[in-house]
Amino acid sequence: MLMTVVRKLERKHSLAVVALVIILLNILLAVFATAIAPHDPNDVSLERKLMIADDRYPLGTDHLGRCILSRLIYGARVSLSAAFAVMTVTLAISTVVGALAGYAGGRVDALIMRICDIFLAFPSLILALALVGVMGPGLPNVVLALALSQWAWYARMIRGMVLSLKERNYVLAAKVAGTGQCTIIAKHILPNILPQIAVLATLDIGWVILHIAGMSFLGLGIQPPTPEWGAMINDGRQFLRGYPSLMAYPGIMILGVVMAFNLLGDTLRDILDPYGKR
Amino acid sequence: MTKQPLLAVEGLEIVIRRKDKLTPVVRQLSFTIEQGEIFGLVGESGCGKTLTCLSILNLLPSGIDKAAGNIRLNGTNLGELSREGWRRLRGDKVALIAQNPMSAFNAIRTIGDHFTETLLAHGKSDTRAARETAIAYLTRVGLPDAPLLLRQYPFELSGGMLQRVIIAIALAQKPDLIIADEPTTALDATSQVQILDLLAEVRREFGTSILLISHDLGVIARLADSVAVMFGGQIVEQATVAALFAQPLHPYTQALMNARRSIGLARRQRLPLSLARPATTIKTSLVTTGCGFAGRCPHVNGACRLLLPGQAENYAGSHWVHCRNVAGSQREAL
Amino acid sequence: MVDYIVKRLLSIIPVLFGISVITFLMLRLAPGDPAEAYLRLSQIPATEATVQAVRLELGLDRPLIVQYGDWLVKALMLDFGRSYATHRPVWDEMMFLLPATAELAGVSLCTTLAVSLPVGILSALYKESWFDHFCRLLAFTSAAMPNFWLGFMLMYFFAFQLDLLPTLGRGSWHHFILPAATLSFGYIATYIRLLRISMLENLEQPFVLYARARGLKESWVIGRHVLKCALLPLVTALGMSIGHLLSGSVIVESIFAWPGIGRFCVSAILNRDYPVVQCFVLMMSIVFVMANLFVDIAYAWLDPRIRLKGES
Repeated sequence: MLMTVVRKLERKHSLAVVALVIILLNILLAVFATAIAPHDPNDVSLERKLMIADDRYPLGTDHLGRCILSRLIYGARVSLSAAFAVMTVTLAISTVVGALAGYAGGRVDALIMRICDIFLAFPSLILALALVGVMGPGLPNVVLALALSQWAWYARMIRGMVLSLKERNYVLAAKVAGTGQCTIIAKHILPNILPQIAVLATLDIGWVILHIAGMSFLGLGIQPPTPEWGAMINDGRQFLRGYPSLMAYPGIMILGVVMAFNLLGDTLRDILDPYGKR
Repeated sequence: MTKQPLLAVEGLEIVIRRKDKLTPVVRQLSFTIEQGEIFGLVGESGCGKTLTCLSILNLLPSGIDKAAGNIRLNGTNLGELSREGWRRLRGDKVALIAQNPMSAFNAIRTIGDHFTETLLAHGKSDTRAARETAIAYLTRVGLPDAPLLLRQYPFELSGGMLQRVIIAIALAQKPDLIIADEPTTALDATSQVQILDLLAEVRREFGTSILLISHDLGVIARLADSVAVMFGGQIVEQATVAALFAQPLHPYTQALMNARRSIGLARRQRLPLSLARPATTIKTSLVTTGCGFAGRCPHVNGACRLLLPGQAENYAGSHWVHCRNVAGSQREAL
Repeated sequence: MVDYIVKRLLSIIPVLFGISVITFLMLRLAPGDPAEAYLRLSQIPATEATVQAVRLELGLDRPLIVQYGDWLVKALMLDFGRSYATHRPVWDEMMFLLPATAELAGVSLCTTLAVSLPVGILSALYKESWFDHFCRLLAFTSAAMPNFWLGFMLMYFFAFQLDLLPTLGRGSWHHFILPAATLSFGYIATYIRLLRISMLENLEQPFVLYARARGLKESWVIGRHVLKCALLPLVTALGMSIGHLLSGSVIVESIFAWPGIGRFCVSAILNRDYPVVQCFVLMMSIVFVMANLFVDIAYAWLDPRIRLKGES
């Protein structure tokens, strides 16, 4: 199994490795932000505002005199942790619901699928926006809102996977042996669908990062002064004409990270060959 | 005066190209088909029969190329045809009847669409004339209610009916040669017989030659005039159907015949099927030195593995076999 | 076919019902008192008395089910109350602004199709050529790009630097270009990919070989056979896209100050103008559901296997 992975990785070797490096780099930035960033991202000083790049401030400063590079680095921490949080919550909800629906079947399945249908009927961003709109902005609400707008899709996929595994021989054997339902799900079914879920999650993280940035951009997500790439783009709006770099850098960061995740997800999918097409 | 054969294939070589590695799948294939002859090509799956057909039409899939050889139709060397020349040839001079009639059609277009577009591609002037021709030929091959048929979609017809449609489309251009690649394999027994009879009638009425591919000796026996047995990309034996069935010379042919017979025998008397078991992949039946059949041959000797079987030997007219052992031992018997 | 339509129509009823329930309940999640929000937006000081009065006026003191029933009935009559901010009927406001959003969405959709169809098809036909690789790279990049960032970058180059196009608002056809380009960019990527895969799959099908074996011109093989099959999945994708286009317009309208419902809704969200938010969510979801329904029916009609047999 590992040999196949390695062999197939060699094919898309250069690209996937680059993607992985980018992602790891960002994670490092996020985790060690305090050590890496040259300045405090919230250090306001109107005297230093809108400076172009120099030795002390490699990417210049924004309209409040804060170091852009430091804000980008701390922004990695915010964006990535928010995105991981969203994926964790989403997967937690959808795995439970989806596995339940797939395994139980019958009326429970039908009911859950109906509920999924309803949630899927909302265009995702709109539901998230509205939820954040009523619950108020801020990171926890953003995470919850995005998770609520995504879980239904995952629940469906997981249900499908569980359904196809339900009739496999080893599951039936476990049933005959008297293994409890929960144990069957936990020990036999879930581990086997883990690769596919991993692929789906990786392909989706990019989307989540984009949406978090989008909501912060609209002023509904992460609140200032916390540095977040989307919010930084919003901040730089009024200065577009004169100082486009305020907006350009955060955008490039988002672009890079999302591309890396998408590339990684694509490669993983090629290797692990998951269910169905996306 | 010898009439020139309709189709003459000489020294055909087909290779699979994968990452700079060339693997031969058809080696030194030569045969001729006369006007009005039904020529059978029999062999197990993977022996290269379909690729041979496709190369006659220049429709080999990507990654598979014709490496050498000449194919002549009515004297014209097909290798010199332009793209447009090939297009005109296909469906007009040489028609194809494929194995699975259902998948040969585009599910979202009607039978009529398929028929009329073929006619229009080959010179019919307008749709109305095309429709009428279509109706005429559909009726000719025994399909009822042709006008309704034209409006129907492929999934609404049975396999047997679709195969008749394909034959009708093939006939409408009055081709010189019909290539029938396992035309009955996907059909039920009754339809099989009907299609074979239809093809026999086609040859009778129109004088069309037919290249009949099958892995089923029964089909060959019923329809073909002459037959060539293929194994591992080469023709190992060739004769008239009568001669071949009367006296199969090559060990592979013998095994094939045995396999057919033994299915009906009682278990005790069953002959070993191992000789005629089908190759599961092309790789296992390909051998680059020596005879391709050496791995399975009961009469194999050392020379067989190292040296090619040598030129085909001619016995009793047009029965020849590609085997060095037969050359030696059987010659005295005849 | 009729069965299919009826079945689909019946299946969306519970979904529509569920949407209405969730939309209604959403407001209950709001921290703070809707009455207070109303007062704040109306710039009336919030005292015990005013809060109580507003409560009664908005019917907030009755049980939830009753409130829901009341709200639903009013919604069916297109009465979504009045905007807390403008005090005009929500429905009227939405209807006033809808044409602008619809226009933008329409132009974007056309642009998307106009660009992605030829590119996707050519990409598949000339697989592995430099064109194919370039387009795939472009598609990949645009899928990862935040569309609001793109909007601003385009604005910077075309409006500020080159001074070619106007930046804000709606007026002549010039005003369409940047917003439509921004909005359609992401979808072009998706459609190119979709079409390319669809084409490549169909090019492998046996009926293509048979079509060539019959001597059809290559342009006929592609145009009459492959394309028709390859475009079918696009029809389904269109349904999803309409919903996403409408939600994507929220951001694009904010960037370019396009006077549509999206922009209105964003300010409503920021201002806690709940009736507007409710109506917006409900409307967008219903449009989404109906678009998908319509697309499903169109697909069923286009694919004779479903149209005549009821299954594919």
